[in-house]
Parts: sequence; C-alpha cells; structure tokens
Amino acid sequence: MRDEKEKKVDLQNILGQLVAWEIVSEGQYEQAEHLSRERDISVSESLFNLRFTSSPDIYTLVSEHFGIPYVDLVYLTPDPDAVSLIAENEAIKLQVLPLFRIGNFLMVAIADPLDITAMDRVKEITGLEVGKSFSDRSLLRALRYFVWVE
Amino acid sequence: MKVLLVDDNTFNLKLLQKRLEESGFEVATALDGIKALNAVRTDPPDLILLDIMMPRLDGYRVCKLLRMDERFMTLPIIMLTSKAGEEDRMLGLELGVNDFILKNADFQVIARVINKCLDR
Repeated sequence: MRDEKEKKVDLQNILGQLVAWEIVSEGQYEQAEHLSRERDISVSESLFNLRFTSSPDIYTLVSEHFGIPYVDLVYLTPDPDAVSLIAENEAIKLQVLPLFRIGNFLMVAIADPLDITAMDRVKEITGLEVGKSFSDRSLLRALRYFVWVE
Repeated sequence: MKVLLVDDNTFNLKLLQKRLEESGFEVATALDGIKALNAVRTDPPDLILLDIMMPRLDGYRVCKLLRMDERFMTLPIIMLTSKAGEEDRMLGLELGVNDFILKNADFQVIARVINKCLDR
C-alpha cells in the first residue's frame, strides 16, 4: 500500500510535468509553491488561483498519469441505482460517489485517485468489480446532492 | 466537421484517419478510452467513432460517462466493432450509442453512417 510520502512524490511529479510541457514557467511554478505554503492550499489550486493554468490541464495530466478518467460532477448526474449501492455515511467517509453500473462493474468517482483503501472498501460493500474515476472539490458538492438515498 | 477516432489498433486508426481526411473530415485520434475522454473534454468533436475493446477504459464505459455528462448527452457516438452480436448491440444501444459500424465495412458504408448521424 502506498504511504502519504509516496503519494506526495507522485503528485509532485505530475505537477512538475506542467513545467516540462511548458504549460507554466518555472517562475510561475515557484510562485504557486510559495502561495501554496502561505495559504495552506495545494500547488495545483495555487496555479489555478494565480491563473497560470486552467484546471482542466491539470486534470488531463493526472488522468493520463494514473490512467483513470476525470469526471466533472458539476455536469454529470450519477445513476440513482448506483448511488444507492453505498450508504450515505460510508460514501462521505470514503469520499466516493458511485456513478453507474454496467452488469458486474461499478464505476465510482473518488476524491483521491491513490486511495486504495477506499476502493477495497467499496468492493467489499458492493461485491462488484469496481473501477474508479477521479473528481475534485465538485465531489464534495455532489455528495451532498446525491448521496442521500431517495 | 471534426471526428474523434478512437482505436488502440494504430494500423486501423491510421487507415481510417486517412480515408476520413480524404473525405473532408478534420480528424483527431485517441488510442484508448482515457485519452478519448480527455480529448472530448478539451476539444469537443462533432462525432466520435469509438472502438469497444480498448486498454484502460473500454468503449462502453467511455460512452456511458459521456452520456451522463450534460455537455455530451447528444454528441453522436458510432461504435466500431468487429463483433456483430445482438447482446453487444443491445448494450451499446442501452448506453446511448447512435449507430454501429463493422470495422471491416466498406468505407462508403462508414461515410454514409457518419453523414446520417451528422444529419448531412
């Protein structure tokens, strides 16, 4: 299982790619790091706040790097049948939102693409093969809207 | 008209890309489902030609994710398939696929299906 330090190294590598791909300059990246420390927010959020990059650039990078799709839950409506597969308190605790089910396969949106424990727990709860997509803070909003089981 | 062609088989991809470009389409390509979703999000096409069996994310799952997204609910999706099984077609239709094309179909057939989906 990956530990916190390993996760940070991975995300650091991805963000470093923004400089390598000339999406942001080294100076801009340093400024974002500074802002990130100052406000205790992520470097990616700082880059976005400073308008050095549009967030979709970052999502594309993370998606390519981990080989999992990015979903923007502002535009996407999960299937209620899938949502009802995980109890509200579990979904909030795991930061996971079920999106759809095709046969024995369940696709979920997860806030942290490296959270293997949450994925294992979803498999345990549902008994299904589980695939993940990742989302950002819109996941939190979506959880509030969709996770209560109607 | 921009077509996003998605297939992990580079030979098939290049061949169909060439034919489509010769027919006047602007063609973007993606080699798997993840790249396809990113391509649709960053530069939406007018139509997608989507392979079913692909690494990382198969065509069905790509289709489902697009159909759940209010921005791409009506984006025409044609599935490229070497399978002609009824079950595959049924699943595709349930997930919102507009039409199917056999991979080895004559290009005139492919062009006709594309134009039908684009209402041309």
